[in-house]
Amino acid sequence: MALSEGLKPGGVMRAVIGDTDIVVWRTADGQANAWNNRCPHRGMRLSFGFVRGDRLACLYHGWQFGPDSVCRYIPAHPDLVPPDTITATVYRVVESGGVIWVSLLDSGEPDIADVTAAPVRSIAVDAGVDQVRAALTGATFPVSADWQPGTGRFSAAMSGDAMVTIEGEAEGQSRTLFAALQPLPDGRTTVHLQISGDADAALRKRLSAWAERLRWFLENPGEATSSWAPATAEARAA
Amino acid sequence: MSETTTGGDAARDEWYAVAIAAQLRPGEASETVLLDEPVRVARSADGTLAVTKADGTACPAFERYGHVWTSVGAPDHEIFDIPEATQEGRTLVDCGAVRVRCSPLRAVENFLDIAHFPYVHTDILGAEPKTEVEPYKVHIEEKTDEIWATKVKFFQPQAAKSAEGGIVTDYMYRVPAPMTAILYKTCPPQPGEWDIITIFVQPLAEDLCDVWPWMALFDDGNSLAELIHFQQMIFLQDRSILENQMPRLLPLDPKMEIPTRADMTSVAYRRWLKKRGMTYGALTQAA
Amino acid sequence: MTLTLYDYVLSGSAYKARLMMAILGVPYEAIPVDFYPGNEHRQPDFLDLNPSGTLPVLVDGDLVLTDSAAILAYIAQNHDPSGKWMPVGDAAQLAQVIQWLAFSQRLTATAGAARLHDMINRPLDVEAARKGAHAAFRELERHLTDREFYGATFLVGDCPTIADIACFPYVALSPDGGIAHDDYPAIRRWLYAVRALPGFLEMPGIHALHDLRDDRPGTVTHAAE
Repeated sequence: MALSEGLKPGGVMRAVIGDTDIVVWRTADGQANAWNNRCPHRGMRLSFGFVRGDRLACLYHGWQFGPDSVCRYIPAHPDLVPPDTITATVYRVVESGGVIWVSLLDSGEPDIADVTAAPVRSIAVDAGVDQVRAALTGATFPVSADWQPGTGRFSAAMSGDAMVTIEGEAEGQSRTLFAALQPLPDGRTTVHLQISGDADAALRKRLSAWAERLRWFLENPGEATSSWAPATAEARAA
Repeated sequence: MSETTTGGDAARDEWYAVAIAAQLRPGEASETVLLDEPVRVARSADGTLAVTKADGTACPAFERYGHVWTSVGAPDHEIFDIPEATQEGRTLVDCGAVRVRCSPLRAVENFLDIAHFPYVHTDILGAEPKTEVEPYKVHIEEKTDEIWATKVKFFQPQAAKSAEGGIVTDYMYRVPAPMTAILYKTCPPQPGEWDIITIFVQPLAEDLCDVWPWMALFDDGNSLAELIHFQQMIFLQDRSILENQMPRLLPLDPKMEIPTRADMTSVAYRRWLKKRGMTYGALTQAA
Repeated sequence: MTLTLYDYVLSGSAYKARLMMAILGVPYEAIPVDFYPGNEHRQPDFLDLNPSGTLPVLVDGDLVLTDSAAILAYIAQNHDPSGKWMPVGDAAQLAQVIQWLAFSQRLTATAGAARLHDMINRPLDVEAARKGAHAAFRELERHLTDREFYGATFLVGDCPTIADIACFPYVALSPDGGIAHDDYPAIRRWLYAVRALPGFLEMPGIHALHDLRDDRPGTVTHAAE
């Protein structure tokens, strides 16, 4: 749902998975939480809220919720201990491999590889998850193995349901690009990209450009530019 | 006491503001929507109002409180009275409609709320740490079937354009119709009087409304533009809240959203809407 | 000599001037113009001052400036002893600042226009405006993303410039016009950085950063804690 580095301590953001509206936030100590994006008071989106210490406060009336999602403080009644039935709805969160994962289900274990990776970027694409997955795993997206535009080969595979791993190389070293796929409403997808190993600014910028090309490719199906390899089997075998 | 009618009739048989009277000059017309129905608001060359539906049916129309009022149904009552509107010395201010993607009922409820002042109207109508809302009184006026909240007070760093420095402001709220709210607040230049700030909410659809704020103030020297800007500033701060309340429709089932004692006016409002059968813009059952 | 700003509280463009002057601590006199509902900016008295009929207008003696980017440049040149808000000494940086000032006009024409359409029912092909806004936002997101790789937070150079002030309002206010920030994490971080600047001033639609205020003493906690 987000790259860990993109959400600083005290940060609040909105994430939408399918039709579910989620607030993701981090306490001052760095603990990530994901709740249904709705304050139980008057339905205000909690993603507009602010963090104080280990609490998320709703922007509307300042109600503060602890990391356990229980309401701890109601500013209109400062001396009141709010009943602990007043809570936000919690989703399960796992932070692993530089990504914040959320599950909308109550049970089941996350099928997530723990990887060491450097964050690149999260990019939203006007294409469905299946289309993105197919473009990456089907190697129909033309880019060279060192993430430059041009001919080349790379191999990609699914790791669990939501992650594509793409093997390539940079500066002579083999690297894996991790693409975690988040389905958005209206047939769109956010791709959270990370690269294995260390990445300096120059490499990350190149990968960012790769991500822009991926998006262009997905959003302009059927078009090709002269600098890219044609997607024919012969050309790829060459 | 109103008869409980279907949600549609309870909404349709009411008066709604649809234009600023002074801005509708002879020979001019504006197109708008009222309760999902397109409506044309016109003034003929001789000055008479002509409000018509798409099929040409005439709607009753009149001018009051700076606005053109009409109905797509058949109200069995006159528009509510605001005696202060004709009081000597008051500055009357038409603020212009602001469109909000929310239920008209949510717009009214937000107007009745004060606990949000330190967070939404920060350093103007309220500021931390003075966030406490002391108990106040709410009652339904039997004769008129209107909601009144009285003895409301709150510390305000800048209560009005005319205020100099922070003051404890006294408030009264009045709901004379399902989509109208009137605020009476401490008037700095004339301590014995109340400044009046109203919102006339025009429902375009269940989740879309035009809010027409109107004021009758004792002011001492601010320009009309300054008074309009102050009100617009306050309302636009609320707009970004209103457009982000979910569900969009106002839940009338008390289990869906959790009020506190500070929310007594809104609790009374939701109950009152339910009793009147006003379901337009509302959710009657937990989704 | 007092600066005079012809102003409208809801104008994102006028806010650029208000924000810059708040950050730099520049005193000025604000003259409110009844843009809506009064349409005062289209009346002859105002058109005498600014034939374009737009806001803001900055007056300094005989000088009348009617473009928000020009106003930002003038304020920065005259009231920023550090010279950082408009880096005239560095050709490359100055050119980039000017490029982003030009970009900010696209934001006004797309996100700004969609906002007026949604808020006060201004006639507009709003879908085209929103589409244009998202295209501009994607470019901004790409730029800010790549800048973050090099440790930079603002649009140009090492510190905020008038480019950031010019682009900030209509990006920050874009949800008023149905354009969300959900797809743009780098933009969101940049918006936060601007809002956290010393001397930052809000406007309706841009809330104060409550997390930066002092925490309230005497907060109640549950016994279990």
